[in-house]
Amino acid sequence: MALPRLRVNANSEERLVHPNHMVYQKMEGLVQHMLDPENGVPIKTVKSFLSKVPSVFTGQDLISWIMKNLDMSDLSDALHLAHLVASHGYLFQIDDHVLTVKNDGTFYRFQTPYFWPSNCWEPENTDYAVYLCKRTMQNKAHLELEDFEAENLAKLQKMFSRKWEFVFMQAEAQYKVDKKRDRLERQILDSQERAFWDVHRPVPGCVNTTEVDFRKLSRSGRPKYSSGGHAALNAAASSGCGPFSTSAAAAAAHAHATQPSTSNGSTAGGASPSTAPAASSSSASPGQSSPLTSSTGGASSGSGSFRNNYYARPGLRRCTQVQDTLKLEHLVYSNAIRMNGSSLHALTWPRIGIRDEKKFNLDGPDGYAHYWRDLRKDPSTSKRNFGGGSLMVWAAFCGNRDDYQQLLAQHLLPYLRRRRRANMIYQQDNASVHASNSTLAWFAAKNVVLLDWPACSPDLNPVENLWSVLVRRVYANAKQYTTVNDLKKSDSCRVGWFTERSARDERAQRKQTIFQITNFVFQINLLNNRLSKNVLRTSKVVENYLSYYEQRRVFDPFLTPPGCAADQFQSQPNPWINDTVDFWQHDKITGDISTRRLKLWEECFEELLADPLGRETLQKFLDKEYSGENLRFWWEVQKLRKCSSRMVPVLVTEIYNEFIDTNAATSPVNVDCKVMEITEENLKNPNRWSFDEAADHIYCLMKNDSYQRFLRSDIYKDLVAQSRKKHVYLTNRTQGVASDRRRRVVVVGVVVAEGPDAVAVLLLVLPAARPAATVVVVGRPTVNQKGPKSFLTGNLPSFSTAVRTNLHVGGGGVAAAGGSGSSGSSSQPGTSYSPTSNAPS
Amino acid sequence: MPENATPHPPVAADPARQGDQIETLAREAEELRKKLDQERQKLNDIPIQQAAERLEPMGNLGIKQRRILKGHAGKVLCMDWSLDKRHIVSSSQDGKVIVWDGFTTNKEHALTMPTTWVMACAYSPSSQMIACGGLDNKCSVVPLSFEEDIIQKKRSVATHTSYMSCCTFLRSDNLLLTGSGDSTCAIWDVESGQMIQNFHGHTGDVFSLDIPKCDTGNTFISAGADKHSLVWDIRSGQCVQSFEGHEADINSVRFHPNGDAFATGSDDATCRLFDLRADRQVCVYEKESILFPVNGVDFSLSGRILFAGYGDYRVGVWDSLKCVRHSVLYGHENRISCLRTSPDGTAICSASWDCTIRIWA
Repeated sequence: MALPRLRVNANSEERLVHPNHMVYQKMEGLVQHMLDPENGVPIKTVKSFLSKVPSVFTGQDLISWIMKNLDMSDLSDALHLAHLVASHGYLFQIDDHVLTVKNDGTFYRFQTPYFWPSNCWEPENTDYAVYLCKRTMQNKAHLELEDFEAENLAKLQKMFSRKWEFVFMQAEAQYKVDKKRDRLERQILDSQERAFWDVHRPVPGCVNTTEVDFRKLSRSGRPKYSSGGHAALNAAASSGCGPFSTSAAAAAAHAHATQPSTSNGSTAGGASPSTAPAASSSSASPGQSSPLTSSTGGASSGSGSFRNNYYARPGLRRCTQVQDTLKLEHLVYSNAIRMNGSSLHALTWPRIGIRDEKKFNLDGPDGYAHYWRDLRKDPSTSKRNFGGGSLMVWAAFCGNRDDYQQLLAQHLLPYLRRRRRANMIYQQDNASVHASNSTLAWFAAKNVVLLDWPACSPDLNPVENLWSVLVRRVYANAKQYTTVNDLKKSDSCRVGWFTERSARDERAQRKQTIFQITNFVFQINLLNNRLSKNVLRTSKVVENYLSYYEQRRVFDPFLTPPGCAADQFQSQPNPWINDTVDFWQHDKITGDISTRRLKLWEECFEELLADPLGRETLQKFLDKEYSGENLRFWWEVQKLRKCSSRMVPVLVTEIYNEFIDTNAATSPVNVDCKVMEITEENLKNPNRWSFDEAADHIYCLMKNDSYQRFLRSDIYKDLVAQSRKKHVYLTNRTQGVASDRRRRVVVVGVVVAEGPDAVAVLLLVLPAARPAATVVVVGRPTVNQKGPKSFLTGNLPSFSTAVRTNLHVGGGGVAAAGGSGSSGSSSQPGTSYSPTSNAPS
Repeated sequence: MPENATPHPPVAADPARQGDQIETLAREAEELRKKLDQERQKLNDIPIQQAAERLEPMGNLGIKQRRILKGHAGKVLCMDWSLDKRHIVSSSQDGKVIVWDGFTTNKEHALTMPTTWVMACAYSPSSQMIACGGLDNKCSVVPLSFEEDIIQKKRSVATHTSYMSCCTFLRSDNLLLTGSGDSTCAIWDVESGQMIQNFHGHTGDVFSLDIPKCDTGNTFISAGADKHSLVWDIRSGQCVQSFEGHEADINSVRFHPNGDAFATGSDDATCRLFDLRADRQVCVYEKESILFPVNGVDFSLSGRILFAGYGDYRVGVWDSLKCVRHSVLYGHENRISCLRTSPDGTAICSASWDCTIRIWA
């Protein structure tokens, strides 16, 4: 026995992956095979009327590839797999929003790896808005918005009403960039982008495959222990609703694991610079303060170090963390590529200086109300600590544009000069002091290139993401500050925190070492235990499965459908298939015990005891044998084992007094002294398992002795004989009378008696008012329908008794007592149907 | 759990020697593991397929969808059969718990839980109450009656420190067994809400547990995100056996009807059969073309058929002895989250993220 190896250093080893990571990985493996230039799916450019359709393949080709390469014989299986690959966005039909695959000549295209779901964070609504907005600009029939997209656009427009201008600007910029592209390339890109959004914002009615199982979020680093139910509840609420769904925990580890490899992937080329340049851009931001700036740079690149700090926050907290890193990467794409076109190579990225300032409040950062508490105290403007792009919080700054310019001149420019980054691109937000004409002119004069600041869209601004990193640091562990001074000091606290951490690390490491050693020793013990244990050979085990199967196959409704020819019990048919409950109700209605049940009792002792009726019968038998107390004791112990805690002492006493007490028990059970000793020992500390050994002992006695005798006893034999004789066979054959439109008639066939090769079937024709009965004697139902040997009709009440008393089916021949016919011959309309069709087949 | 199982080993004070110690121990453990593997391999004399060769292949089973239960507005996450063989309780992501008469497809009760993601629900053996819970970290018990508003009678019994992922009544209405994302399982007294026994040992979230059908046993199995299935002694709270083999989270675990083996379904797209007496994995049910996780497994009454509900919307019907996939059931339109055979084996029921529950027979 070996317990799972404990994760010794979970925090550093645990890679954060997308919760759907396993599936994505497998699909990507498959898609890579499909993309193979030689053995893959044949990709071609098809000429259609006046135009070309580039890089496509047909559904047929795909399906035949799958059937050939995955060793599939079933077409529907292959189609289903293709459909799944498509619905996850790895390939798509070139002119349809519904992601599925048909086995025909329809054209499909592969998605560029950049847009694979494993590479994609949960995309923001802003991006979607920009995309839709862009589509409205493109004046082409095939790019026209579908109804659902138009609806989405309207919704988004409402949502982003105030920043719509920015969305529009972004869309316009992207559109301009797109226009410069080669026509075919554009065609491919358009379709790929569309398919990307079809995955993440699917057509209504389609499955959103990016949804994530809540339980699997732990893979993306969700902390295990929340502080309590309430916290988890909040996490749930935020995960359940809002655009930021649980799938937000995007794949950090995979963000740029795959390089774009298809011919279609040209745009994605510049889209994967790592976090490191992004971080260095932050330290290159103006107005630096060395310790802190560098620490932030470290934090955003190696987020692992301070992830540890987040255990206090439940659920999605860590996911946001993951997202920050991802966003930074994403930004490189969104800003550098989209806004400025692919001409702005990724390498230029580090040269883009980005500045902004952040307001730190006493209670928590603003802009994080969603994750943190609401602002309780609103600090006055004088308390605002502006930092000119640095992550250091420095002197209060409430200036007009002159002050701002002066500030920049004093701090920013020298910094930039010092770093010899004269050709810095500078990005600032659109605060009035920043965007005033005067300031802009000042920049122009100082030869600083400005990068557009996307208004009201923090996601697209790298600095905002850096802010979030810093803000979390300052307010780590939900710290609140009482005075502004404290807040200011907090930065130095941060610096101190690093030194303090090393001491703590050491302690933790030592603890870990001890833990590791304990763990290994434990494992070795377990392994030794396991080694010394006697275990069965596979052949023995399989032998056991086989014999179990042989025994039970007749009871398995899937293998031996009840009521079918092979069913030796001739039970009622499967209720789910035939819409009758007789299979379940049989014993209740007839008051007999079905052969199936009796046979099961014979099969094993447990089944007999598990059936209340079986237990009752056994009890009767044992009482006759004067050993009834065994079963009663065993049953009482079972009750004790599963009773509620309150009842345990009561039941223990009762059982002891009735069965165990050597001197005074009312009906003592016969257990040997060894077991008695153990039981006495257990009773020093009575609990629900005190009598287990004794009960097991009795159980074995009953199983080996009484049970065998029970099976040979008259009680059991009688029951079997009884159930055999009146082997009631109920069928519900409404279709035989469906043609009778005048009234609802139900025909019920009951086997009332049977012989070796003939069966008497009582057909009850039940119109609502006057029931009638017909007895049909037919060949065995197993044999082909031979038609009725004879049949009789009559009124129900008189008939049932007549049949019971007079009908005998003799061996070999059919001897339906003719006397039964005398009881009634008043033929009812309902009985005039050919009984042949009603008889069981 | 290491803490309660072994005395503290002597630990060297010097960090360098500690390192050595760890290394020797690690080596020793590794050697033992190899040895164990070898030993087990020796006993693995013939593969199950070969042993089952003489069996007739299963004929056409004719399994079709017989009922569809519609009414949930969110992903259905869990379902359980009542012992009366026709009632079903199901829970969904939008916080609803519905009690159905599966046969007539009528809804008999509908409850709204205070949280979303009600990940587990269970019918009591007497069919007179249900248990459910999920993200609220609790397992609540609701008695079923038509007389009054039953949600008023809801009582929380179990409390974990993370979400509750699976629950089942332990052979009576009085005991409740739960598994949780806090990587523990526990038995609770329904009446008082007291914990009777808890089970530490998993190193990841527990996703599934099962108790053997047979009344006399004192064990149960649990499995989860740590890829291991553990067998527990109910009385002592100790782990008595552990099984490894899966390459990813185990989502579902079910006892073979004979009580000596169990099947697991995992995110690695395989089902596996483990045997308690052989102390190892006996069989893997996998196929190259199956990429999606298995979210629910169950056996037919004879143990011959293994049903597996996949994340690819389908139910796979496996011949558990010949280790081949017999057929596939199409119908669901989203991931299957849960699959159970009815107590009398007449049908299987699958719950899915497409908001429906389907009964197949």
